[in-house]
Amino acid sequence: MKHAGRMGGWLFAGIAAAAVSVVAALAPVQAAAAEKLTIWSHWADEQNKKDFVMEAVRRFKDKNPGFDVEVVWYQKPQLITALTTSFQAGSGPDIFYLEPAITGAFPPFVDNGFMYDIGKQVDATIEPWAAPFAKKGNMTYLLPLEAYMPVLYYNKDVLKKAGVTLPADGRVDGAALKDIVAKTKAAGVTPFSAGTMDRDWAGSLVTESIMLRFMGKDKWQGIPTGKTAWTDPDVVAALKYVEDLVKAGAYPQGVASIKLGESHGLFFGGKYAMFPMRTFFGGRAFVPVEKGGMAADFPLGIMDFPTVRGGKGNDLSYIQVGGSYGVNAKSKNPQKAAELIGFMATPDMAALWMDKVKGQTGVKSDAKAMNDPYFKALNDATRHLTLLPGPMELGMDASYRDVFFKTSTALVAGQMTADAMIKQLEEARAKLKK
Amino acid sequence: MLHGLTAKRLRYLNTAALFLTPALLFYALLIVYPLLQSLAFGFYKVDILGGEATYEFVGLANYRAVIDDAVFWKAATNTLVWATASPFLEIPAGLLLALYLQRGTRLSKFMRVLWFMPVLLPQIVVGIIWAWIYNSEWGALNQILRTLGLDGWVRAWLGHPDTALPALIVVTTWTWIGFNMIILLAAVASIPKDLIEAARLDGAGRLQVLKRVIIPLITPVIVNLMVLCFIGKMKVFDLIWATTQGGPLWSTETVATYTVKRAFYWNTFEKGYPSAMATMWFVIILAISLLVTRLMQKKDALQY
Repeated sequence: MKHAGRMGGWLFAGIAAAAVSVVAALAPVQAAAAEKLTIWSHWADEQNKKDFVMEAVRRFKDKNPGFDVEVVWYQKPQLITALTTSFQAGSGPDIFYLEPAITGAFPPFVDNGFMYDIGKQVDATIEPWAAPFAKKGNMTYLLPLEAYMPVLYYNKDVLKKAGVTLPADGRVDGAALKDIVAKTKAAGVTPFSAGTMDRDWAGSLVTESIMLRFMGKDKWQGIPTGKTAWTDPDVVAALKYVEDLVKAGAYPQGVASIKLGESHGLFFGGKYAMFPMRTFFGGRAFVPVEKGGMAADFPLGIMDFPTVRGGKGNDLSYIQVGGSYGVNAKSKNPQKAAELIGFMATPDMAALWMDKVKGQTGVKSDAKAMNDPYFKALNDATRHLTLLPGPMELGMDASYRDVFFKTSTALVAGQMTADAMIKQLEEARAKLKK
Repeated sequence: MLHGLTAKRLRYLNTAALFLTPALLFYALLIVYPLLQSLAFGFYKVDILGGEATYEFVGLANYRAVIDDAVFWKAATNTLVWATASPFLEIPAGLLLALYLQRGTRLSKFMRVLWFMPVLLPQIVVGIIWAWIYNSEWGALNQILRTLGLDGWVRAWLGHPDTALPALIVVTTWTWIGFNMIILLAAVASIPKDLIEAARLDGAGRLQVLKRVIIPLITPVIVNLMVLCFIGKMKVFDLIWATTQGGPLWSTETVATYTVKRAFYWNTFEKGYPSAMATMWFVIILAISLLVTRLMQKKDALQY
């Protein structure tokens, strides 16, 4: 019995010692936390964007000696999981990557009071068109760093070899695009490079742009809410048009098993004629070839999606704010975190973003970047467009969006007809109404 | 003497408690508590925000919603197909390899390591390797088919709803054959040689020895492996996450991937619905596992 008591004493002493050790180990961490900001960010494999963020960090640290900044890089899916769980547990980083709430890609951080107002730091320097993405009511909850729109990149040499001559303004109509697909296919080249395996939106990229051309603004914007039916003649015409492209062999056979990064690489390899992509393309394209980028002398061309006969939205496209940063309302140093965000929101940093990343931004910049040949080509290809806040799935119910993405991918992979897609999406829309 | 025995017994119990308590604490904290919490969450609309949760009792609404969810049933069907097919692929293949190794050829040791190696690889790595092999453009499988002149068979193995799930079942089979092989090798090795020699003396051929002696004697091991394999595949997640993420057209969606999507990727902090889904699936797995075990365990198991 005596022995048993001693055993209990040992156990108690052990637990007490362990508890003291844990408290002692945690204490310095708590003390150090006040002098350190933590950033959790997507873009683990996009060096240009990482360089941009690290430049802002460097500038902040220069102005705030003794303040440390730790950046943890994630792939987006892992980042969403990490953010969701940490915010639920009442913790989280000081600054974090997110995308505008209306895209529905992230949980509703704003509605739940997780965001600190960074209006003082960024309101004056963000583009007016980007403001609706960055604000809710009077509160500015994110820095709209990355912006993009959909375009058709193409390989000038491949098109030339296939006997394709583009009009001087680069604008083609639906019939002309079909002709380009047929000619490139006949020349033994796959018309579109595309990969949908790890990005659900990638399968809907062409479809939703073509839909906008046929449908015009009101009907197009009525899709997410369920107001516009998938049986609408304009929707049917758009989906049939995409189906025709698929039947003509526009997409690679394995489109549903090709990853987004691979689709860039395939296009850069010179065996694909066109690459329907959003303009964050630059982040992967303008890096050294050995890191998966495009060769310096790659004959890159940019054109708009085709106009369509009788289309109600032939001069419409969309722009979206993508990668952005916000501040955790529960940060120990929200003011300092907002200051760091402010270092990314200056016109010269916006110019640096455009220069390094070759992407658009929602931050005001000087016009110097427009002299860059890439931006000049992009501007020439899109200057006629009126840009809507987009893309179409913006604000869609998650379940509805899932069906849209999955069926769109199946359509371009030739696994589903336009009619079957319409049927399935109508079923999903009916549930939306309930 | 009685007092001495009690003290000895108490000492034993104390020691046992000392060793068991940490494991039990972890088990209770990391398995039992979340399980019970998940069970309870299924009856509520739960928003967990900033370390605090708000609960709204919704009764069976979450469960009804799960039952009405076509994607859940698609995921459940895929998972069941996977869980049912895998034991019948992995275990016979593992047994064949075990029998080969049992013969003790010069290559046995090397082959044992080689065949077991996939078990040691993280599923994410396995997924990446096989995504390369299955790649429609430059993957090894399609290259081999092209070389053999079988161009008509070339396809996007992971990109088509008809082939994606079978292709992933092949991957898990490849991964787990080695595990089954090692367990079955130990089971076969434990059979007294006298029994096999006696059977041979009685005129039994190799197949008959296998059918009449070896398999009956290792049946309990096979049953356990089948149940383990079945349960493992009912929870399959990481391989799909590294390859198809449930696509194309939900053809590789499993209950595990769908639950994670609903819990973390559907722009919500709400945990009631995914909890209901997880609970329902837990009950289904438990019921099927008990049923399979009961059906497959012979009451009059052979003894030697």
